[in-house]
Amino acid sequence: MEKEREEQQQQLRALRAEIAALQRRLEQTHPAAALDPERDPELERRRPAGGRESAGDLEGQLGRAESGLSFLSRLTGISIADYSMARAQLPGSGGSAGENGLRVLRKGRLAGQCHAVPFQLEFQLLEMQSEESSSAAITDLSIVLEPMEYSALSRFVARTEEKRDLFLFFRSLHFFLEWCEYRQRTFQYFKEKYPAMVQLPGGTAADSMGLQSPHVPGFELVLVWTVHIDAEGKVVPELDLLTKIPEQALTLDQKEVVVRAPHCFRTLLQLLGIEAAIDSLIQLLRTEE
Amino acid sequence: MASSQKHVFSLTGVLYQLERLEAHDQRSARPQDGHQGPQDSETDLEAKILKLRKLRDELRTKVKLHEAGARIPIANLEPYEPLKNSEENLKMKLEKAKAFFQAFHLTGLSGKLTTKGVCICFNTAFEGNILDSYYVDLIIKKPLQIHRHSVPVFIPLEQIAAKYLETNFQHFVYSLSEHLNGYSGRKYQADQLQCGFSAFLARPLQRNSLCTLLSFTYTMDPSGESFPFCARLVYQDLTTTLPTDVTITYQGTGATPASWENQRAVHETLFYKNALHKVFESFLRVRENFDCVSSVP
Repeated sequence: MEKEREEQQQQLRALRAEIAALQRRLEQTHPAAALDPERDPELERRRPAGGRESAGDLEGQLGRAESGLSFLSRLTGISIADYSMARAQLPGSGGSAGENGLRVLRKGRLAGQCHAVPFQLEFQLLEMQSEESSSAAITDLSIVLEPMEYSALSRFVARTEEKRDLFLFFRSLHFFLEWCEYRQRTFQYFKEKYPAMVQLPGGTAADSMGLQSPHVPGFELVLVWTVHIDAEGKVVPELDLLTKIPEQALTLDQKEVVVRAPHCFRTLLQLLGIEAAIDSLIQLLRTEE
Repeated sequence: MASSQKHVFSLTGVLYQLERLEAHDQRSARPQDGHQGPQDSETDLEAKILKLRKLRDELRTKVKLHEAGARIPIANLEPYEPLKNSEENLKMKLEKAKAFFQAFHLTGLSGKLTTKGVCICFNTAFEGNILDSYYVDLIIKKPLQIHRHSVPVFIPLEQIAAKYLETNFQHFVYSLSEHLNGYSGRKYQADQLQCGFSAFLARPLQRNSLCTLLSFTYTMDPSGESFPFCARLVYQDLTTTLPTDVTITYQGTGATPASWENQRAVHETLFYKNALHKVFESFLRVRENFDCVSSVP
């Protein structure tokens, strides 16, 4: 008897807990209804349209479009602030339909940000359509990137304008900025870990980091880490080690350790990767007496 | 109004019922601890359990309905609420959002959310020419899954996915885009050479499916009989559109004039640095110039 009662009491407690949980859920779903990005488009398409329904439908569509756009921005690192495209007169032809089929010229403008770098593009798009095939080509491209704090980008911009390769522009810019962000994080990490040894004269966003020996004043290693974009649009990081050593010390360096240091560092990079290579440099400076 | 009122009413209704039940619960709980006979308390408990069960079931259906209702824009439930956005305003915003979607195509990466995840579209181009698009349809769950795609089999999609799909989704997308653009670009160059400059070629150009190995025999003089040069272009990096290895040999028998060796070396450099069809365009220009000069008496 006693046991049965206890079981019932337990059941009651469980029920109450479940009811409370269900209630919380009910309260939560209600206000979030309009913001839910994962709405089923099928479901909404089936709803009758017209009158106020259509205003709601518009809002739903807008909500979906906006969440889609924010997803794309997160995915690509690119956000768009302004975009327009308009049909333009084809130079040197009266009508748009020639013997080679339909030709349409459009002029467009696109502005936004890639990571944190604002860009502005102007371009011409020529669409050609014949019975057998259709094609499109960017026939003119001009790029404004600002601020041009990265000198490596100005040559890249000029080359991209010449090749009119819009997709390559975004790809290279993404990889370039990704490397710069990685460099900044790495510099910051070492500065925080070894604040006394690590010197960042140009700040974390600059391309060099100094490592000072805690034991021998005037003995310094400088890591220069640049990011390049080559002629094909490939992003290549380049790391070099420079040494700042007092004259007197150099005369004592009979094994030419200092001279060989940059070469040794490159080998170290290949063996260990960037972070571990820098760390091992720091360990070396710390332990030397 | 009706629907909104019903909605609010039902919500408060549930709360009211719950409050009442709780009050009842407390009232009946008090004597239970005291001197009530076991007989009484048992029926009491049973009744309570039944009541609570009923309420729980009601709430369960409500939650289900509500969660389905979350798919319906809130404006539909409360049509008399003053709309924050006028219809005109909404339409304008929607047009703008749609245009921005279009604009993403210009970045080479675009896509849309699907019911289960996301479908990403990869646009490819070589220099200004916009080429094929490819799709990857992903299901968003753990682990992230490629549901279907139109990426050619010889593109190492699985390796790229294994490397980055879980750890760095953005990098996965850009890396795949690099591969697809590399392939499209190499294929485009080979096609252009094949279509536009077949007169220069002894026979159709040979290539592997990834277009990372191209081989062809060509001449500088399409009107002539001989095809003295044999080219082999290798693209070791799958993401590039310029060859990493160029080998030009001449096929002529007997003694080869010294000028040909010069030409061979010049061609090698040209193939390293320029798009394939651009090299042949330059051959064509040279020949036209030559024709011009030779036709002048």
